[in-house]
Formats: sequence, structure tokens, C-alpha cells
Amino acid sequence: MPYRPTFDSEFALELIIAAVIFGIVVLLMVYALLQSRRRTEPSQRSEAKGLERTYVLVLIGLAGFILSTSLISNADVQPSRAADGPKPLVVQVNAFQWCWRFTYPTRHIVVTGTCIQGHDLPTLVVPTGRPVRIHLTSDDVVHEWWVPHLRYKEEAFPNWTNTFQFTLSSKGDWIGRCSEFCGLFHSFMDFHLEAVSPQQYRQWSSQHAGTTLT
Amino acid sequence: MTAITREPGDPGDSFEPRDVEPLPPGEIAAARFERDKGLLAWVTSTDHKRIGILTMATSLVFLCTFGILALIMRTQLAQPNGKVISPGAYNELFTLHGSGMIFLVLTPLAIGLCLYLVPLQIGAPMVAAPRLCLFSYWLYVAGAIVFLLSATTVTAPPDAGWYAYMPLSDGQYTPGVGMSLWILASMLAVGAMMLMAGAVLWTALRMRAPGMSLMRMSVFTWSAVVTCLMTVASFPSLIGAMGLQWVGRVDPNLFTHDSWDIAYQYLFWFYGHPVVYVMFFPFVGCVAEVLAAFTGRKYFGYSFTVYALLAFAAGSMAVFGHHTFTTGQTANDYFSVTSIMLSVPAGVEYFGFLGTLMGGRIRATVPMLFALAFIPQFLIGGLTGIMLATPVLDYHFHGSYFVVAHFHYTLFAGSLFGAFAGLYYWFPKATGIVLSEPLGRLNFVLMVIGTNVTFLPMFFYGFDGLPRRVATYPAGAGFGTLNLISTVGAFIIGLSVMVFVFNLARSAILRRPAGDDPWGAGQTLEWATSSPPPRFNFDGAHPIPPIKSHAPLLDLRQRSGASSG
Ligand code: HEM
Ligand SMILES: [Cu+2]
Ligand SMILES: [Cu+2]
Repeated sequence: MPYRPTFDSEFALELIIAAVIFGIVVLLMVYALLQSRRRTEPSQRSEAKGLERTYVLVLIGLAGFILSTSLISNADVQPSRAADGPKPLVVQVNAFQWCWRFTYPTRHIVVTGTCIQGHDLPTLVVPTGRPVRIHLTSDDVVHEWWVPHLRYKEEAFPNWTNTFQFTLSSKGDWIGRCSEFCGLFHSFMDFHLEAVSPQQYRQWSSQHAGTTLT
Repeated sequence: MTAITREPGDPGDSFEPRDVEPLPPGEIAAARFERDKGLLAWVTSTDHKRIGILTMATSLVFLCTFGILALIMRTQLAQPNGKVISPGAYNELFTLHGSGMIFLVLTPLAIGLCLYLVPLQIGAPMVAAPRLCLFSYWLYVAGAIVFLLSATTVTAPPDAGWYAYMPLSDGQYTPGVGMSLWILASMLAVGAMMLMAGAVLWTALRMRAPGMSLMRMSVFTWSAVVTCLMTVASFPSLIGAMGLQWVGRVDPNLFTHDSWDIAYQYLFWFYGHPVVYVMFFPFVGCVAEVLAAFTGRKYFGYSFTVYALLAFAAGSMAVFGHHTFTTGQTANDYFSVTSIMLSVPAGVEYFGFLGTLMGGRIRATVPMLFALAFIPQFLIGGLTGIMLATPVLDYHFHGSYFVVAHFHYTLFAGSLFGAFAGLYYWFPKATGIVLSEPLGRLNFVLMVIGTNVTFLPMFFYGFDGLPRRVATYPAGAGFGTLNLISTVGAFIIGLSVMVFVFNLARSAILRRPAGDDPWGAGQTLEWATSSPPPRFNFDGAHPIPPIKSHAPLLDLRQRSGASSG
């Protein structure tokens, strides 16, 4: 499953659980404040072992439930090993201080920019409906590739390549950012992710084959 | 057996440490010297109370210092495309703010409070290894001085963030003496707290008064014990990580393989996660004591709370990997399981809070207000922590303002509120003078408003895509309004801290005496002695009462109440 729907359902679940717990705690506090007014003497009871044991079991059950959804959702977003479906488009992404370089190895296209003051941002152009496989690395320090729209990010290490995959079903243009502090101009290290129709993509890639776009 | 000789008339005359080892002669000489009230006597004292107060006072001065840096940052971020300071200056500010708050403010405040209170609460006349504690304080001061030097190196103050990832922080990408001094400073400050925590741990385990069995120690003392356990177990890892960094600065070409970069992250977080609990548990202890005192009952679910604290400390060593979910080089599922399981002992602690409240007669004193606000506010930090421990959610939240909101809810809305509860509660005990309650309430109200106005919006703009550690953000992305709200909130926090400082100054001038137990509510041993306590904590006029439970003074009050009525 793609990152975003998985994120959305897991987030909704945990938000609801969190809201319920928060609500219960606040209600109990309000109750405690109200009952306190009627009380002339504090309660002498300092233990309720049976209740506590039950409560610990409930907590373990709840934590077990949340962590099982955590494990299942994380398994969901791993790229499927099945060989069927369209062949992914591979893009090599290099992060550097302080911008990005996208290399399309089959077409020998390189897209880069300077990101100076948030201008001259490079655009990662991908077709809709086809998986995009990113090979992510860094030329210098640790950076992080984040596209908030996708609900996904991954760190870019020097001397190490991370691989991940996503598919965009509709056309659009979204902002991507560096989200690991990488030095002086970290704040401006943005890029665009643009999804175009497969025809437009074919056109774009044959038009620019073998060139460097800046 | 009478190890102490004093002049007649001294209230310490008939002090006889029961069963406790006789005080070494050096201690007695030191004690005589310390009857001088001069500055020199203070800063060379081996009295755990003075060292504890010095440590806490120093850390509070730094709280204001590094808080002011945060106000400058928030001013810069109030509007899109902010031009108040340069990106470089912003990077220096958040590095100094974050690392300063952790190394020089909240950790020393936590350990200093343990050093002050633990010997009193277990009925010990002094701390184990008092000279080591004095040495630790000065090591901490040395670390702070080096830290300030690093901040004022004109050419290159440190600017790699509080976790200073490699290779960004090495000699190639962050050249200059500032960063090197920063590494030295963090080693000194962290090493200092490690030693001090070791002494507190030793004290709690080996120097308890007769009758004070482990399961009669106060909740605060237990929280101090687990804090010190985590400190001695995890802090060495930071010293190792910083050593690695040091080598990387001398010759950046040594570490050209990825293993070094990721190993640094692991080593760092092996310290970096437990330290957030070190900065948290003593203040949970404060909240627990304050809740018990101002509901007038014994802390509810004591033994479960103690086991939960111990389980928490053990578990805390196995969760560090949740900081590296997005590296592609971590066993995410394993660390997700361990981290989410920690919500079980956390839930048990909440059981104690709420159970104590629900049967109590609540008195809304200033410490109680801070303790009450702690409960829902920290809960927000804790519940969002479960989200961050879920890999698919962290793939979005990592490195964003959502995380900044989360950890300020735990550290500020949680720990610091607990710390204020403790400060207001024990201030009269430690100084013998009282603080103003109306000013305290004003301090509290402003603090609650400011904290939530500042940090709640951060969840939203973090969710919407604003990375952390950015010196500015573009207009048109919709981040402007919420950021402005955060900035307004930050200045309200500033105002509330000014009220606090004014409150301190005012009582220092008025000097209204406190009495032994100004709240009429103390349950633990420190409230049986004078305010401030004598040099060896208890004396003939203030003997250690019989200890039959974790609330000996409450037992005493109930027994006398029963016999008279
Ligand atoms: C007046 C109250 C405070 C305000 C307005 C404030 C504000 C901020 C801001 C704006 C940042 C930068 C966020 C970023 O760009 O990543 C930050 C970072 C941080 N703050 Fe605070 N803060 C306050 C109090 C505290 C306290 C009491 C602590 C406690 C220990 C703390 C610990 C940190 C840490 C650890 C960082 C991360 C620094 C880094 O990324 O290296 N802050 N704070
Ligand atoms: Cu960056
Ligand atoms: Cu952590």
C-alpha cells in the first residue's frame, strides 16, 4: 500500500485512541475536583491491588493492540516483492549542500539547481501510474528527502544508498524539502515533485535525453 | 559514637547519628567552616544541600539565558521570510538553546534536586562522597564556562544542532574552535552529572536511616534512584560519542565509511533517549509528592508506581532506535515495539496520579496547580510520543515541527511544570522563607497560557510540512499565522518567568519565615526538620520520626489525630 493511505488510517486510529485517553483523564480530574468539595476527610485507602492488576492487563492489551497496528502498517508500506506490475522508473537522487540532483540513468538526464534563497529549485518529474524507485544518497553530510504530500521521508547518507518506492495516481506538483539539518542553507533546500501523464513524461524524457537541466 | 563536637548552645548539640557511620573528621572541620555565611563558604561547601542549591540556582540562570535565545528565534520566525537574524545566526541560536537546555539546564536541575532532597528524605546526615559532589558541581561550572566560550568565539560558534550528527560536525564541514569547545563542554557537563548521580544513588542505597526500608522510600526518592540508574548507565555513551567526534574533527579523513556516521547516531541516542527520562523522572517525583501532600492522603498505588519506575528505567535503554527510523539502517519494528511498550509503565504512573487525586481533599496551592496542569499537558507529549514511535507516522513527522511540539510538551509542559511544582513546594524548606502565593498563581496562569499558545500550533504546521531547524519559511505556504501565534505565546512564557523571578526577589527581601512545615501537609522526613535544615539534616531538636511507611509524617499526624479525637 502507498504511504499516504497507510499513514492516514494509522494516524486516524491513534488520534482517536489518544483523544479517548485524554478525554478520560480530563474527566477523571474534573470528577476528582468535584468530589473533593464534598469531602471533609481524604480517603484512607492507599492501594487497590486487584484494580491495579486488571488495569495493567488492560494497558498491556492496549499497547499490544497499538503496536500490532504499528507493525502491520509498516509491513504494508514495504515495496512488494512481487514481480508483476509495471517496471519501476529508477531515479538516482543525490542530496548535497544545499540542493538536489536527480539522475535518470536510462535516459541520461540530470536535473539539478542551486536552491539559493528558495529559488532555482530542481524538479523531479515522474509519470503517473508507474512506480518510481528512488536510490537516495548524499555527496557530503546527512540530508533527508521529504515530500509532505506523500507522507514519506528518508535520510540521505554519504557512502550509503537508501532505496524506496512510490506511485502517484494523479497529476500534480508538490513541494519537497530537506528535513535533516545539514548546515548553513538547510532552510532553503527544497525541490518540486511533479507528476505528469505517461505521454507527457515520454515526451519530456525524449526531449531532454542526455542533457543536464538546471 | 558521638562523632560531632560543637559549641554549647548549638542546636546540633545532642545530635547522634543512629547506626549511621560516624562522620569523618574532615567533614566536621568542614562543617565548622561552613557556619560562616560568606560566599566562599557556600561555594566550597561539602553540604549536599548547598551543592544541590548551587546546582539548581546555576541551572535556573541558564534557563533564563537559553530561554532568551528562544525568544530571539521566535521573533525571527514570527513572519515568513524573516530578516531579523541571518540563517547562520539562527543555526547557532537553536544549537545553543537546545544543547544548553539539555546539558546545562534540565539535567543539572534534575540531578541537583535529587542531591538536595534524597539525603533528607531518607534520613541521612549527608550525601555519600560529598567532595565528589562538590567536584561535580565545579566540573559542571567548568563545562558551562567552556560552553559560553564556545558561544562567544567570534569566528564560529557551534551550529550543528544539539545532536551534532557526523559528518556535519567534523573538521571539514564545521571547522573552527567553537564546535570543538562545544564538544568539550558537553563532555564536562555530562560527566559532572554522571558523577553526581552516582553519589546520589550510593546515598539512597546505602545510607538510609534505620527503619527506612527500600519500600518505604518516598516516591520522589524512588524517582531519583531510577534517574540516577539511567544516568550512570547511559551518560558514558555520550562521552564515547563525543570522543568519536573529537577524532573526526582532528582528522575528518579517518571516518569516510558510513558505519561511523550511523554508529555515531546510535551512540548518541543511547544517551539521548535515556537523558529525556533523566530530565523527566525527578519531576514526576515532584508531582507525586505534591499531589499526595495537597490531597492529604498517602500516595495511591505506591508499590505499582515503584515497579513501574524500575520497569521504565530498564526499558528506557532499549528504545533509542526510534530516533533513527528514517535512516534505512535501523530495525524499526523492534524499536517500535519497545517504545510503545513503555506506555504500560507510563500508564501505571498516571494511575497513581489520578488515584491519589480521586480520593483526596484537594487544596489548590501554587505547587498543586503546577502539578495538576502537568497531568494533561504531559499527556499530550506522551500520546504524541506513541505516534512518533509508530514507523509509518514517523516517516512523516520525523524532523518536522511536530517533533518540536512533542518534545516541548514533554520537556516544557511536562518536566518544567513538574519542576515548578517542586520549586514552589520545597522553596520554603530549602530557604526558610516563603514565596508569595498570589504572584505564584499569576506565574502559573501566564505559564499555562503561554506554553499552550506557543507549542500547540507547532503540531499543526509540523503536520502541514514545516521542517524543524529552519531559519525561515516562504510566504504563501500558510505557515505565517500559526507561527505568529507561537511567537506571541513565547513572550507570554517570558512574562511568566519574569513574574517568577520577581517573586523570588521579593521574598528574598521580605524574608517572611516559613516554619518547619509551612504547608501543614508534608508527609516525608524533610518536613520534620527545620527550614532550612541544620548542617547534618536532623538534630536533637528535630529528630528523625519513626518510619513505618512511605509517608511517615502523615502516619504521625493521623496517629495523634486518632489519639486526641
Ligand atoms: C520559552 C520557552 C521556549 C521556546 C519559545 C522554545 C522554542 C524553541 C524553538 C523555536 C526551537 C527551534 C526548533 C527548531 O527549529 O527545530 C527550539 C528547539 C529546542 N528546544 Fe526549545 N523553547 C523553549 C523552551 C525549551 C525548554 C525549557 C527546553 C528544555 C529542555 C527546550 C529544549 C529544546 C531543544 C532540545 C531544542 C532542539 C534544538 C535542536 O534542534 O538542536 N526548549 N525551542
Ligand atoms: Cu538539510
Ligand atoms: Cu527517544
